[in-house]
Amino acid sequence: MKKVVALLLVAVMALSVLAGCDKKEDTPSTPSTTDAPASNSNDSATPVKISLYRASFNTQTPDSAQEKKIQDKLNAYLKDKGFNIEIDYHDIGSDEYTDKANLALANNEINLLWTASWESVIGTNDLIPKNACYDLTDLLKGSALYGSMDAGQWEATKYNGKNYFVPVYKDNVEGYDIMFRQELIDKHGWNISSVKKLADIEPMLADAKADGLKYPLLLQKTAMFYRFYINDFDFFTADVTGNFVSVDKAKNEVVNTIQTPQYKEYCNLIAKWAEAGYISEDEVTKSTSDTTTQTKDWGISWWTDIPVNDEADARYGQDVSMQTLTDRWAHSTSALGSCYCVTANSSAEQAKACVDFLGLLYTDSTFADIYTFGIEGEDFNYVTSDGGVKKVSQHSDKYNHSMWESASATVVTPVDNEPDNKADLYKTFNGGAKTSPAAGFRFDKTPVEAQYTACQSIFDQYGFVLETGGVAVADVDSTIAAYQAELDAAGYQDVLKEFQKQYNAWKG
Amino acid sequence: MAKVEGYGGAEHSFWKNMVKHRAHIVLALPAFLIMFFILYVPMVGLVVAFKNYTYSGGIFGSEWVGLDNFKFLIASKNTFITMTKNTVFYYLVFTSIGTFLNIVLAIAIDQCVFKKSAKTMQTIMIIPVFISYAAVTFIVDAYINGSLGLINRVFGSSTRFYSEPSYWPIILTIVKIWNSVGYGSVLYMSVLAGIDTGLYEAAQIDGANKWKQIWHITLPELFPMITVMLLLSVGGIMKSDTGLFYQVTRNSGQLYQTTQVIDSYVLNQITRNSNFGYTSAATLFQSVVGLLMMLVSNGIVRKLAPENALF
Amino acid sequence: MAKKDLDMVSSGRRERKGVGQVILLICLIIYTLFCALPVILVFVSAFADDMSITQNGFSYFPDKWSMNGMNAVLKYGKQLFTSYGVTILVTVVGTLLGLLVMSMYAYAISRPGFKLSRFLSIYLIIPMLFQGGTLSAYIIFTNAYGLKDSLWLLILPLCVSTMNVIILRTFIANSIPAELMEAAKIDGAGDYRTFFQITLPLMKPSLAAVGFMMATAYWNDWQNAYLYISSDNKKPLQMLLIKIQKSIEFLLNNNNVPASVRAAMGNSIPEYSATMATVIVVIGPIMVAYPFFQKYFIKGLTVGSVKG
Repeated sequence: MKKVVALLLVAVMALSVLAGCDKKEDTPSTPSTTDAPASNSNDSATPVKISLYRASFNTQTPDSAQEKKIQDKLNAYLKDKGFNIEIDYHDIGSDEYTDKANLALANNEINLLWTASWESVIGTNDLIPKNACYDLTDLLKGSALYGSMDAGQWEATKYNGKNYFVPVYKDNVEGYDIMFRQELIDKHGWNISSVKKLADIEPMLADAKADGLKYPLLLQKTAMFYRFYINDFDFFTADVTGNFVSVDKAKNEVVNTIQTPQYKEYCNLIAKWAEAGYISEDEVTKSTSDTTTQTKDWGISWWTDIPVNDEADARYGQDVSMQTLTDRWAHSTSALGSCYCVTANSSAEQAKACVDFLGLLYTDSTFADIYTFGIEGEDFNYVTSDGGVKKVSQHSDKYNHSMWESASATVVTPVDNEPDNKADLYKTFNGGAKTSPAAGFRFDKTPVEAQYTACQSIFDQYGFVLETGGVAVADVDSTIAAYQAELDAAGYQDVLKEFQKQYNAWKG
Repeated sequence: MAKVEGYGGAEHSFWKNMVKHRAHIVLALPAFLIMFFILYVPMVGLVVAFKNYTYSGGIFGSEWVGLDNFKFLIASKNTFITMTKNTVFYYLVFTSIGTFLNIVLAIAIDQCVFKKSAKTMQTIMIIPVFISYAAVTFIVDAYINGSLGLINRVFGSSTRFYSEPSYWPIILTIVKIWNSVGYGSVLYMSVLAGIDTGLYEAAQIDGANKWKQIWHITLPELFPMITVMLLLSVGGIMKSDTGLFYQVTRNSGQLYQTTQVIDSYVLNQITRNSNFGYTSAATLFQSVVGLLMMLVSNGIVRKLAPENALF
Repeated sequence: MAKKDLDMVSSGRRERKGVGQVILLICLIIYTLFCALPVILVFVSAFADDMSITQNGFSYFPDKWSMNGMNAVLKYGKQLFTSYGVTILVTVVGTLLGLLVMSMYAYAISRPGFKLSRFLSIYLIIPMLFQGGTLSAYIIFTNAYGLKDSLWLLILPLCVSTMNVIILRTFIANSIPAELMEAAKIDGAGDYRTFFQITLPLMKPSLAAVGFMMATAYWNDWQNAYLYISSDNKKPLQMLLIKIQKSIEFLLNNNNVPASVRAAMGNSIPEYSATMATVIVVIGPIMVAYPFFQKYFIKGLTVGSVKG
């Protein structure tokens, strides 16, 4: 026993030495559990510290040594340009970003937070009802940041008439295409430009099935109603589990999506195709992934329209062709595919510092490049393209970010495998879009949150299964009826009424 | 004795008892403090179950909403009934089968004469508990996938296991057994290792065969530990292993009828909306039910076999 | 005297390697296979080509082998060693510390006539039922205790657990004869001496069992690290590996991540094989360290039983 105790004491001593050595991590904004936001000293000589949280979207964990270097470089650059700001930079892997950011937010550790409308837990629709964001409307007036994007962007991202989010300018409208494998187009001579609506692909599906393909139609385990039908409906949350309420664009009113003729038509079509073997069971059982799309087992799938659709070839490792299915729409959430917000616990000084920082990021190309790509020479190099345009060649595993989650397409230097005129392409892409009548409307689900959550669970059970081919054609109508009944039992009518009430009030 | 005049008799003996047992108080102190700081202090978070949590309000500043947060569990009565039913069902099945198999395995290895083989086999049996549920999900898929699964390939069938809720109580039970019985039997083996071998020797001399020995010596020796483990598990009756019910089932709505449990419903809520009040309310519900069950069970045990009661 | 008795019993057993024993052995072998087959599949799949898994399913004899899965994990190189070290340190310190304080507590509450024992038992059980939640724990641990990014947050939350204390208490109450401790008292030993020199050595089997369970919990734990640890030199093994699994899963299954991001990573995200590879990395040391615990629960491998 004495031996064990001695061993323990040694281990504990070793541990305390180790633990003591590295306890220098303190957050710049003083954490507090009360409402009073922390304010730094008013001495103008000491820089204002802001804590920045962003996500890293690759399979590596961010290399902390490299990050520190980049943080220092950014701070030095800020100082050079005369800004009295210091950044505490936190780069978190995408897999744990929402969890960590959520807790850090609750603990008042963040000043500048990157997020997106589609992010769960800390998405734009989640932050606003929980009073997590600082109202930037006044701070933006006349600032360099405001001037860097046109007024339309700022308008589209307002909540309740105020600016809380600073969008990253990129593809800001939503549209969906049908995607075909080029190999099959060549083999069967498909005329893809003749496809105007979803049902038109049926003969091609038959060909794919005859070829023995496992997934003639690959839905990528997504319940696609809320994407294929955006010409008719505005699913203002872009949350598939909430697709049971939407705004009917033609009538400009809130409807029960499940009872619409389009929903019935879609479910019947999918059920028919599932029975014919065009849709595999793997969709409904969620057995496919992006690896499946890289194989040759599928024939037709779907694609989110972007300015340079050719990127799909690189992603899937084979040639694919797109045919537009829906128009391009500007929705409430489409401009918020990537954005920043200032947290409510920040002091006025810190908020101003965040706006200044973003202002520099959105106007100074060198600064934006450091922020996006890292340190020149170590993480990337500048090269000149054939067209004489300056580009970036990334080659580092240690720091791996992209424009879409960093800064605007107009200021970040394009990467070498992108087109020279990338920024212009975005302008054209966004410019040709239609605006939804519901654009700018935000549904506050707090009054009916319990029912809404219960309905989401019902969606999992019925809606998802209906929309991914898990129901036989003969059963579609009865399943839709059962679905509606369960929804009602979960309080769906309350949700619908609340939604209608809010929408009519907003419509004005 | 005159020193303690002025104190009542009971108090007097209480403090005297404390003085007599002062060494025991000191021995209990470190764990007491650790529990206090790590487990008790954070319990202030329980109030969030009754609040509408906002980031600006924090734990103490957010407004009170009484029992509103509990509506999240019962908004859909059917869902609530299904998930509660499933939670309790799996608890009963896992606990009864699990405990039974733990004991059987422990006795089997203990009785096995081929010691070296037993040693190797036992080492292999504990490996499953170290395999993360992400890998377990893939393994289960490897076996029961509708088109490529090993079971379907070997038997030439094409049963769509993932689409049929009725298979899942069996599938989940098998996975649970595979995962935990090897590991769970270790505890009972340690009890068996502590049994006085003289008892067996005496019984053998008296002519008792192996089965009689097991029935009259081994099982009674295991009884206290079994009782205690069952009592402890009762507190978790409303809780489930989300690795099993959320990951292995891929959170597939088609299977909810037999696989949706309270914890997977809550986890879905956490990953989509993350309303802290809802999560807290659900946990509080699970805790209160667990407490009631434990009080009842402990009361029963106290009547029947008082030395094995928890408190 | 104990040894002689043991010999007598085991020689008696040796004579009886009859049919019953063979059947028992076969049953055990079947169960072992049931446990082992999926594990073998894991090992094989870690070295299989991911594309062939996607197209043909998992197999014990994959048609194409590849190191992509293992490389996704081995890419971490030096970090893997550091993480192994962290996990081992945390496991050893945590288990020893926990065994010590918990056995002291268990001993204290098992003392008959100790008026606080009921209170302490209830005090012990309440946290098993009621937890404050991740949010308040996070805020309190990082602010009030200032322990963000500290290894203590990996050790302390797991070192005292209700179930383990109760197990130890049960063992003390049932398997250690009270007479021994009476005898010590009569010989003039104080309470501390009785515990450390008499009781504790006799608790070896239960200490081994509880120690094993604690070590398992520490080895498998990643949630605490996930929340609190940011420094590279403090990341435990499972956290690193779970991150690999989770980020692969997120990137492959989240349709909101733009095409360019995934295109940039090429076709080389080995979802299945990398996950399996992480399992191998975790299990390796267990298989080496386990026999150390094992000798305490398999009779005939150790001499040590309670004798009067």
